[in-house]
Amino acid sequence: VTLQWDPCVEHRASEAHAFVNRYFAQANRRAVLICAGGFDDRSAAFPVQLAQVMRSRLRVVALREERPAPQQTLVARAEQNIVQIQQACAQSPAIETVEVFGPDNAVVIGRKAIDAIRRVAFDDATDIVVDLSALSIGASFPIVRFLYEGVAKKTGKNLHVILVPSGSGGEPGDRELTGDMSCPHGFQGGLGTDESIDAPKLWVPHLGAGRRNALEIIHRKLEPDEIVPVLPFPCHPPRVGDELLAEFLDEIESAWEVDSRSLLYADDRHPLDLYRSISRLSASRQATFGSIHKSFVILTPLGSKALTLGALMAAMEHNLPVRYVETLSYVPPALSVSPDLDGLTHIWLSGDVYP
Amino acid sequence: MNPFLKRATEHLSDPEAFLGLVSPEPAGVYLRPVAEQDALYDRLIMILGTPGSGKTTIARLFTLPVVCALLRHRDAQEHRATLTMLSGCRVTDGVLPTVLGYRVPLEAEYRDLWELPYEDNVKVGLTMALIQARTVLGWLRALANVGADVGTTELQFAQPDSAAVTAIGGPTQTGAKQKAQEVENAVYKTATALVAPALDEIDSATLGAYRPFDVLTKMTCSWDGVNTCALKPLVILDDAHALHPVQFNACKRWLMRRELSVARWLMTRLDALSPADALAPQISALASEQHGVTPRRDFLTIHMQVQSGQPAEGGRNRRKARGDFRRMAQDMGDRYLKTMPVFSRRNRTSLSNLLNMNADFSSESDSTKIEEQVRAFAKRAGIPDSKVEEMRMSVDGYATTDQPDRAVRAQMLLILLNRYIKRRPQGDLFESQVEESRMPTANSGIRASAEIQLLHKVKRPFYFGPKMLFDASGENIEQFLRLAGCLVEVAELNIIRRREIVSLSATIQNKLLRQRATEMLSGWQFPMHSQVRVLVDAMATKCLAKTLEGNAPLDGGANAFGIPQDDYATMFSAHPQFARVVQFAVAHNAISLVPHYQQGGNNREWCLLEICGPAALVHGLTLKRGGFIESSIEQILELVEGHRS
Repeated sequence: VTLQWDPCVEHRASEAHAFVNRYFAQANRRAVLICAGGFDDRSAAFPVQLAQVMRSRLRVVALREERPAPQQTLVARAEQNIVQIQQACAQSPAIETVEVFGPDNAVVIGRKAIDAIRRVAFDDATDIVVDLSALSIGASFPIVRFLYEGVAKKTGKNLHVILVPSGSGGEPGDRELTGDMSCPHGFQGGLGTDESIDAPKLWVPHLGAGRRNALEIIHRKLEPDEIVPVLPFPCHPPRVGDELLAEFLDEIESAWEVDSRSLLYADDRHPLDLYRSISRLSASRQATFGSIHKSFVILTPLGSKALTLGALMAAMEHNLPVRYVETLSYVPPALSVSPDLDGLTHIWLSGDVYP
Repeated sequence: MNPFLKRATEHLSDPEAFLGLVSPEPAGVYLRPVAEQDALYDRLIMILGTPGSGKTTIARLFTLPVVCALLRHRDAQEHRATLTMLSGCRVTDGVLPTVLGYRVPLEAEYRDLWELPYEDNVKVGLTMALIQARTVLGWLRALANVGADVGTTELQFAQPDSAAVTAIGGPTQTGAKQKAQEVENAVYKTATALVAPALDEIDSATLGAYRPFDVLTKMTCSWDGVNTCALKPLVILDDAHALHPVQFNACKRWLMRRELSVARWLMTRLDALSPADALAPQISALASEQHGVTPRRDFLTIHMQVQSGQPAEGGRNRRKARGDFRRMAQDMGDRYLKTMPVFSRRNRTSLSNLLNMNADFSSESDSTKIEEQVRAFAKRAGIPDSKVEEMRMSVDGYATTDQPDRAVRAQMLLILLNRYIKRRPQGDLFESQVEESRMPTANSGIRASAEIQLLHKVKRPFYFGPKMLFDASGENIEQFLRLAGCLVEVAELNIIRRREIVSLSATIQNKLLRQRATEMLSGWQFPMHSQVRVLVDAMATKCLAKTLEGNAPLDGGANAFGIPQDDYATMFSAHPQFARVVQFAVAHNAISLVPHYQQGGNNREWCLLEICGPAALVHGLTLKRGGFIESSIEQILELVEGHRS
């Protein structure tokens, strides 16, 4: 299978830091960094580092995802993170507010996020960097796809994606969900059309701690024919995979009727691992069903950010449908996610390094 | 697999398997009366219900593949009731189908059309085009899937030569299918583009002219190679609450147009409506008439729970609704049991028979303890022995017709003594006595009060038996299945272990039901559920305190707050945020509304906010209706604030 990002330029851990310090320090580099301006403490971690390297050659656009009636403690944490970004930047950062929900609680974040990005001028930038660490799926997926297809591919600018993993390995917990399945804007993937009604569906959910409700909602709605759950392995901390297996044992053994050979293991700090696995899966489905009728591989990225990025790359390349459940609100004490800068990951999605 | 735990009917894609489980009762109760008035297929039917009330199951029952599967097995005894119901609903003449039903779930992608940067009329046009295209494709697919001779399928129109017919692809199924696919693709492409195309890039003329619902009257095809079947097209738009409110109203207005020639149903949860529409529909009905729309003539509303401010079709009142629900739940429970080999092999397929009604209740020590409390109370209050004896005889006299156990009798006497004290004239406490005519006497209300008080006092089981199970479900099928599921699970285990049927004791039933209800509440994930939880907790705490008062002032206890009906009418403007919380509480079965409840001096009208279903189980409240605390919106808000802090 020939893959778009194989080979792919990526850096992890100390290599990633070395790359950032070397590459972005070049005087001819002018970058726009898109990042989150939320309560997740990973919001400010990379922007502060990059601002120290690039100084006035960096423009930061921080997206504040606004959910209804946010808890004041979380708002205060978000304010602190924004202050940190502001203090680190030589140019005053643009703070863009993005409504996650419409007045009727419908999920509108995807289009709103793209609207916000379309207001940003990229003309004088050589590089666009998206820090996915603290952005939600609803915002990050459409943004990256828009920047890749609508900006980088058309203008030849470099597009980078950055991830700072969580120190604990988990994502912010204690959340209220909307109760309905959503689709990141631009990732409908043909699902729902007439030709998809009778098509075989394979669902690839990432197992994430405390995400049982969300996966149950999606499972009920999709009614997939086959399920291939993604389990993090190797993972940080090392027992996470076992714990997830225990948490989802009922689903795997009973409700989802998963064949134990169908578990898909992916390195939870290596996005390309999952990207390649999903790509192979998609290609083999295409080879099996392609000549008869359409089939669908549906992704639900609810695990670590690295796995989410791997799913994003596969979804963009193969136009796979993505489904998730949006978070209505985070309830204190929302898990404080400490940034683990040692695990920094950089992926160069588009630009000079690719022919 | 325990089908109760999986809401099996919604997961069975095979029509035959679906028919084996589905109960015809809900459709018979809600839709058949409307069909008998010839009103089911000639105007918009709006079906409102809480999540899990069985809307989607009803919708599936009316789809062509299910009707055809039923007709294939029309001689089977187990499908007789379903066939009778569907014949009564005029879906079939008993041999051939007469209605071509197709369900369109209005999922988030329809709502997403509302986010496009166009004028409202353009977005409504795109929504209508997508709905119509998918429905036409669905009808044609359904015909193909049931084995109809697709090549002979023809679309019939009121005016076959009109331009509108050409715009939908003509009378052949090939032309109609091709056109519908074109329209679907055009709208889908517009909706899913990362950046919406400019308005002039959309073929508005084609999309605007595509109006199959306006012109299509029937679809005919050859059936069994012998008969020709003429089918009335029926579109069932499910989950309409997902639409934007403006989009929803526009669709509703469109579907209400009398010119439409297809049958159309719109199913929605209460979330889709404004708080006033959802909670006080009589106010909205008046407004509708002022805007030239006449309810019943232009559309009919069917409420799947009688709770939203007006009686449902046919004037079903709450008592009848509860009776109907018990019948439905019983039927569904028995059908589900039949699919479980452990029960069916032993011919134990009656849910009621699994639930022991016999008392295994109070221990001797509990009974003795309460009897001692009675003696101590009488002594402390200075009630003469003769009066105590008189009230004891009243209890014993009641006990000859009904058979409460010792602890209940003692608790009943304690309540009577408390009432006696309340009725005794003030003054010399030890001298004055209650007039003979005002002496409290035992009755069923006192017994109900005693039983609920004993639940909290000595953990005597209260929630047991089939009626209690049905009533604890809050007239919601999904809640019933989840509650019944935990009982069936243990009964199944009992059979496997002991190789004989052992019905569940009252204690076990009470414990399991309350455990399951607690799980259900902790799994609330709907919008505003935190606020709803605080509201319910605050109300329940107060209701419980009222229930446990010594004289049990409300027979059976309280499970509701009453606010003056006039205050309720202004709630939507004066307290919009509270109205929204109440709307979500009602929409998700946490509370139910009982407007225009008359009680008190001068027949004062109240609107009751009644804690229902699992929430009542969790807090140990009565399921009997009518016991409420007189209050006001301001007092409830204060209570909630106090509870939160």
